[in-house]
Amino acid sequence: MTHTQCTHILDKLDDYRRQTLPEADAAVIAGHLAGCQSCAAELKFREDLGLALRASVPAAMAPTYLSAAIKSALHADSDSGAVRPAQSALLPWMMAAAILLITFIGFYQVNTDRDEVASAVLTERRDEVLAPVEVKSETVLAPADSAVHATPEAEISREVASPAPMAAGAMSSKAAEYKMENGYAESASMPAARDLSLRASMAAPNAEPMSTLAAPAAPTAQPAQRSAQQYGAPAPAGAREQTKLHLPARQVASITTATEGLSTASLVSSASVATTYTISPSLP
Amino acid sequence: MRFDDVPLHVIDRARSGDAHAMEELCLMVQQPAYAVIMSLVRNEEDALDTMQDALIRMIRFLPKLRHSSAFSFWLMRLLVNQCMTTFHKRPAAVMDVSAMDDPTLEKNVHQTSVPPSNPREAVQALELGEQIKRAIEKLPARQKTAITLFEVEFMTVKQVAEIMEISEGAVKFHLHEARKTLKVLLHDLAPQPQLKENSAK
Repeated sequence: MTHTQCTHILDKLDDYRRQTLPEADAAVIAGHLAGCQSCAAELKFREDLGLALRASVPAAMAPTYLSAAIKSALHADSDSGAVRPAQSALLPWMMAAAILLITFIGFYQVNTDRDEVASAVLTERRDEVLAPVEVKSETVLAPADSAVHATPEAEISREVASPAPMAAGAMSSKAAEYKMENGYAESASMPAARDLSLRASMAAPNAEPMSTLAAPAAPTAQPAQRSAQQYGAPAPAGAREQTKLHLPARQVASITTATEGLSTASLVSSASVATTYTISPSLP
Repeated sequence: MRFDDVPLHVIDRARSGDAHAMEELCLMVQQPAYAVIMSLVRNEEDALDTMQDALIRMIRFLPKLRHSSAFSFWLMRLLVNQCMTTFHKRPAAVMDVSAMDDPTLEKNVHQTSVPPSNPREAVQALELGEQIKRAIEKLPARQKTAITLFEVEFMTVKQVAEIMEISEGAVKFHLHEARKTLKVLLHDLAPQPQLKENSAK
């Protein structure tokens, strides 16, 4: 017998003992055992060892007091609530849903607080730049149609007054778009931002930066006049008045912020509202 | 397995928190559970401690059992794990492999924390059952568990592997190693005829 054969037989020896092998395999092993003393001795050892192990197990009768101990322990556990019913299958899902809900509420609260803080910081920065806003302006009371034509100037003045370069750039493109739509004369070769700066300096060479709500400054009323004349909407008699406004800077900033994202038509109406606001009686 | 006779409705009621069903279940499984523990631990004092801990764990974790049909396997694994815990609590026994050729058991095995046997114990050690018990106690926990489940509890290699949570190859390895050690330890002290006579009793 070769060593390989014996190894193969020994691997299946336990199955042979348990009689769980197919008859063909069992016959092969029986034939091998008949001719191999080593494997036959191993089979005999395993059988004897199994018998000895089972015979050597101590008496397996549980002590009589074990039942009483179990009963008393169970009653104590049931009184203390240690014996609990099976958990509902939905309980883990409910807990997961609760955790998700709490997490969502937490994130929502954090983001809301962050927005409020950012808004407050932005407002403070605008206050630093814009306030105190002392506007020396000449307000033109005009009907709704004239307000539409006065809008480019108001928009330009807002862009000049805007502290953020990026916002100025964005608004200058809006102004250019508006001018293109309405046939407003403009030098095409001049960059929009520089054009706006020049227009602002022309409009108010001596004036402080103007707020969104302010119309073009008084000494240089040409833009407003030009707009009115150009578009055929002269200002009514007595509508011109020179006012010196002390606008609440926070309101100016908030209105400016609110109008930044609006379309041209919205800006027009906003400017109209703003003009109305400026002449409203917060004068000293 | 030994716990297949437990009615499913008793298990179901016990899982749902019925204290009377839990008590009934404990009384039904206590005898076979104690037999399993004794076959593994082979010591009454340790067996009682292990039994108590195992029952406490059964009562505590039975509500988490998903299928009552798996109770037999689940309880067997719980008992085996509890016995393994008991093995690890015991003082370690170290095998001197280099001295395996010495035919005398007492010279082959050095128990580290148990004092040497007195003459009376040496006389008692002449009994084959006691010799086997002592030899098995010297085996590592996994070898001891594997060979007990396979030979005493008549489990298949696959069942032993599932209960011990190891592979079938690992079970075969542990069986081989346990037999090799026991063959050396029991060779001279337990001749084959005596084994047969003792087992016949």
